[in-house]
This record gives sequence, C-alpha cells and structure tokens, in this order.
Amino acid sequence: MAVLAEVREAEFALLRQTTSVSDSVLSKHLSALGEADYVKLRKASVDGRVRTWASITRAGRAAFKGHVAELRRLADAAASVERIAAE
Amino acid sequence: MNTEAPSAAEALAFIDQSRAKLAAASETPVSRHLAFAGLIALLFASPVLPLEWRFVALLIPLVGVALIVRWDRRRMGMFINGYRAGRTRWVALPVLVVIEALYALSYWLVVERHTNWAAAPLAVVATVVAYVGSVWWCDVFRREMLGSVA
Repeated sequence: MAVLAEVREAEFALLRQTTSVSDSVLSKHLSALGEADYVKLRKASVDGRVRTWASITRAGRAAFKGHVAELRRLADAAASVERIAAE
Repeated sequence: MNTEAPSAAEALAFIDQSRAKLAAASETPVSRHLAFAGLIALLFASPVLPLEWRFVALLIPLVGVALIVRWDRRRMGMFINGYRAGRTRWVALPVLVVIEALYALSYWLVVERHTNWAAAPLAVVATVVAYVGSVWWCDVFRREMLGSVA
C-alpha cells in the first residue's frame, strides 16, 4: 500500500521487489485488499505475457493514510513511555 | 502498549524501506527527459505550420505522451502521475504554467503578429524548461520517497 499510494499503477513484479515478499504472500494480500475495495486489480498483456497491475482506490488511500497516522501515534506513545521509564 | 509499540515503529520502518526501493526503481534515463522535452519542442512548432498541418503537429505530442506512459510502464513496471499529490506538484504546476505561457506567447507572436522567427527561441526556452523540469521533478520525487513517514 505504501508503494501504491505513491503511483498511479504498479505491476506485480515491482510490488514484490519493493515489499520483499513471496509471490503467494503478495497475491494473497492483494486479493484481500481487492475484496476490501482498497485496491483495484487488472490483468494486461505485455510482450505476450499476462501481468497483474494494481492501483489504490480512494477508500484504500484514505485507509492507508489513517493507518500511517495510527502507527505514528503508537510509535510516539511508545517513545514517550520509554523516555519516562528511563528518567 | 509495549508489545504494540515496537511493531508500530517496525511497520513505519518497513514503509520507509518500501518507499526507498520505490525511489531506486524510479531512476529515469536521460533519454526519457529528452523525449519529454522533444515533445514540447514539437508542440511549439505547431503555430508556424499551415492550419491543416497544425492539428497534426498538435496530435504528435499527444500520441507521444501516450507512448512515454507506455514506455514508463514497461521500463519501471509502474506509472507515476506527474500531478500526483506531494512535493512534486510544486514542480509540475509551475513548469506547466511556464510552458503554457510560452506557448501562448509563441502562438500570439506567430499567428497574430506574423513574427514566425519568434517560435524558434521560445521553443528552445520551453524545451530547456521541460528538460530541467523533468529532471527536477524526478529528483524531488526521489528525495520525497527517501524521507521518513514517521
């Protein structure tokens, strides 16, 4: 989602490369995100080979933005707790 | 909270890693910048041409843009919208405004004032603006992707 939030559309191989996960894990995640309407998937033939292209939806973008904000909040809270504990 | 906190920091670090890989994957060859600048140069040739050829000259950059998009998809496995939200928009919009202003000036000078020679220097300026703008856009995008989301 971090990659899809920055591009119009990305091919499966690029997503695998940037996330460093296996084909099956990525495929499973993309399917789940597609079912949640966070990601739109399409198949397109390039040089005679069918490839999967993914793009983020408006709902997906909003959900990812909220997710990152929540991660930041949690990370900041953890840093505060660690700081207090150290004092 | 302690069990959640490291995973939140890790997740943010993972997002940063993915964005850094995206920055690396978005490396753009000089030929791509030249292709974009060349299309802008062609656009500036249109007012000088006879009316019937003017539309053809306008059509070529449109087809060219479609071919560049196709090339990006094949080369990088992705397409990034030039007008995407983010810091790059502050590059794309001024470059667009400058090129449009130069084109309007060129069109006016050639069509209204019949000073055809003016198209050449304005085309050169616009081509340089397009090339520098393209390089600048890519640089800003890479720096944005290499910045942390945390």
